[in-house]
Parts: sequence; structure tokens; C-alpha cells
Amino acid sequence: MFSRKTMMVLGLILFFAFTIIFISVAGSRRYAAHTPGRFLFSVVAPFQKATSGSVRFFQQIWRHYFFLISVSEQNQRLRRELAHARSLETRCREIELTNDRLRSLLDFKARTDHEVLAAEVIGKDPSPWFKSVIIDKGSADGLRKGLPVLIPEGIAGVVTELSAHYAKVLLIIDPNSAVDALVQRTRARGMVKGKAGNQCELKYVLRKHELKVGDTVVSSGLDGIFPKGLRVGRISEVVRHNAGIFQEVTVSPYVDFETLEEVLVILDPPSPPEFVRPP
Amino acid sequence: MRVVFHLAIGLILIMIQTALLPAFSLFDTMYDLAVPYILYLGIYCHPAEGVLGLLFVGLCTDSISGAPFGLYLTTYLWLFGLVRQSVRYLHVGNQYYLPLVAGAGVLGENLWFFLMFWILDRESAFSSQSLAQTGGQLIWAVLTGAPLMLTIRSAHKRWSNRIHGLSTKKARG
Repeated sequence: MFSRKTMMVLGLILFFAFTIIFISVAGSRRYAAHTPGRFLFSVVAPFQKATSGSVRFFQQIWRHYFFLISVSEQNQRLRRELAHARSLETRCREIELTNDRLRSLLDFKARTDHEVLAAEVIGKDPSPWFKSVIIDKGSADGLRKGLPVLIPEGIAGVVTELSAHYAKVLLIIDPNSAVDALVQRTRARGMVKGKAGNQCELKYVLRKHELKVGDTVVSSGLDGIFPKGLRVGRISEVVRHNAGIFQEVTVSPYVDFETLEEVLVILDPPSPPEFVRPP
Repeated sequence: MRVVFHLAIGLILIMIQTALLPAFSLFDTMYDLAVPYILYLGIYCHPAEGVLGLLFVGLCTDSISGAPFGLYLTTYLWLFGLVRQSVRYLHVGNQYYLPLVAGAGVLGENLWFFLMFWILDRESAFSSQSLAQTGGQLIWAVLTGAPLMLTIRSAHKRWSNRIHGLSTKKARG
């Protein structure tokens, strides 16, 4: 009925349409479990762990043995730095003691301690367009989807996929990631989303808020994932257009994602806030 | 036995991409190493063998990436189909053209991704940094894509010869 050429064109159009629909559905169900994906994820991750371990081992050898030539020079520099660090430490100790006294004086409530689990980053996303890492802890270690991942410097991401011994963490610099946040100084609320170039943007901040470059952005705790008050980043650019109700805010994360090697997973995050319907 | 070869190559490429290269900042703009492999499958391999290889690499990459599940698999399917069609009309298998083929493959993958980002409403993916990233990937692909394809081809030949030798020995013995 149809020529071979027509059938081929029709086939291509149908396959293109199928691809678009498939990717759109997959894109809207980011947290859904995929059995083949989970299986292959468990297959690939041990190899990633072994390769990462080997790379680190050889890096260690390189750093410790082959660089001995510069050790003497480095020693001198380190001695100077140590002297400087000692004076800094004395000052810090003084500040810490003052801080402790003020805390007890004002009866500051001690920070809630969360149960955390340390994990090692064993692989990074194969594509520069997506930002995720694989860690060497999984459901057998008590991890589950949606747990927050951080390092002492700030928030790193959220667990999105799991196998028994490995987990995938979507980093906050991925455009699919979202953290409900507020600017510490002004309490202006917004949504931190990933942006190109390892940066984030603070979206939906009203123009009425006076934000400054250098302001600290912390988690608001309202997304039900990240506990309140965790550091996210500092504002690096603010653009206020004449029109529109929001301003464009760029946030530089405190976490250096290029050198991310170990992370902490919070195992007992606070439960999401319950919204009571008005009677 | 051919299956083992493709599983091993796929796994090695993924390991290099996700665990080895990220340790060196020089490779920050490295392209997707699976692309030359998919091109190799399209140019030099039997369709059934090619589909097997691309299914394994596509599913593995999808499962460890933060991308929507299926994005890599469909990208590789399109690349594979296009290369198979190109082989009919152009001499893409000529090794002097391979750097161009590798560059075109990486460019095609990135364009496909941009189309998907546009469909998925990810406007933040479009920036000057995206262009720089794509440019960097193209340079890497043109420089290293052809040697990578030829290395895979050579390894594949050696593997086939060894397997053939073993099976002949077995038949005689």
C-alpha cells in the first residue's frame, strides 16, 4: 500500500514521537524505581568503587613518594604556616570560650544532633550536563530515598536512587534539584536550583527584599528534606529588573563539588511540616 | 563470546568516564566516551551485535547518571541508526574521516540533549558555559575519538582471532 520510503519516514516519525513521550514521562518521574536501572546500577557500582580506589591509591603514591624532592621546601613553608595557625588557634579558642559563655548566658538551645552516616564518593556522573555522584552506602546501611546529604561546609544533595550497598545522590547544582531556602540576613525565602557552571540560583525571591552579594543562604526546613539552618551557599550576584515581581539571584555553593570525596547522610531528617487546613 | 567483549568494553569505558577522568581537572570538558564506541558499533559491527552493545552501555549509563532514565539509551539508538544509514552512502569507515565522524557524533549527542532540555523545560541548561562545554567536547572528540575507535577495533579483532583460534584448536583436538 505504501512505498518503502514512506514507511521508513513514518517509522522515523513514530520513533521520534515515542522518544519524546518516553523521555518526558521519565523526566517527570525522577524518583520512580526502574528495575533494569537498579540492577545495572548494582553491577556497575562495585567496578566504579574499585577503579576509584585504584586511582586514589596511585595518587597517594604520587603525592607521597615522587614529590619528595619538594618536601624540604614545603617543610619550611609549613613551619611558617604552623606558627601562623597556632596564633590563629589561640584567637579562635578565645572566641570559642566567649561564644560558650554567651550561649549559656542566653540559654541558647543546643543544636539538634542528627544521626549521620559517612559515605565515600566512588563515581561521578558520566555527563557534564547532569550533576550526581554515586556513594558507597545503600539501603543495607539504612539509607532511603530523599535523605539529605551534606558535608561540614554545607548541603551537597539528596539521595535519589538506591541499591543494597550503593546510592545515587543528586547534587544541588543539578537543574533538577530544589532546596527550599532563605537568606539568613533578610529571611527572604526562595528556591535554590542548580545552574550551569557549578552554581545555583535562588528563584522566586520577591523584588522587595534587599539582598546583597555575600549574604548567606541557608535551608528553610520547609521542603521536608533538609533540616532548617544548613548552609547552602553565598549570594554572588543579584539582578533586579525594572519589570517582574522576582529578582535574579545567583548563589555560589559552599561545597566544592569538584573535590567532593566524602559526604555525610542524615539518617533521621525532620519530618515534613504539616499544613493544617483552615476550618 | 562476542557478548563478553562488548560487556567488558562498555564497563571499561564507563569506569574511565566516571571514576578515572574526574580525578584529573584536565578532562573537565571530556566528551561522552560511549559515543565513539556507539559509532564504532554502527560502522564496523553487525546490527545485532551493535544493538546488544548499545543496550548495555545505554542502560548502564542511564542507571548511574542523574539524567531522566532512558535519555542515554534513546540518544545512542538515534546515533547508531544515523551511523548505519550514513555507512550506506558515505565512506565514514575511512580512518581519515574518523575524527570528523567522532566530532559529528559528539555534536549530535549534545544537540539531542539540548532538544530534550528544551522539551523538559530546563532553560537553565542553555548558557555561554554550555557552549564552552560543547566546544571543549568537540575538540577532545576530534583529537581522541578516532584513536579510541581504532583501539576498540584492534582489540575487537584480536579478541575475535583468539576466540577463533581457541575454537579451531578445540575442534581439532
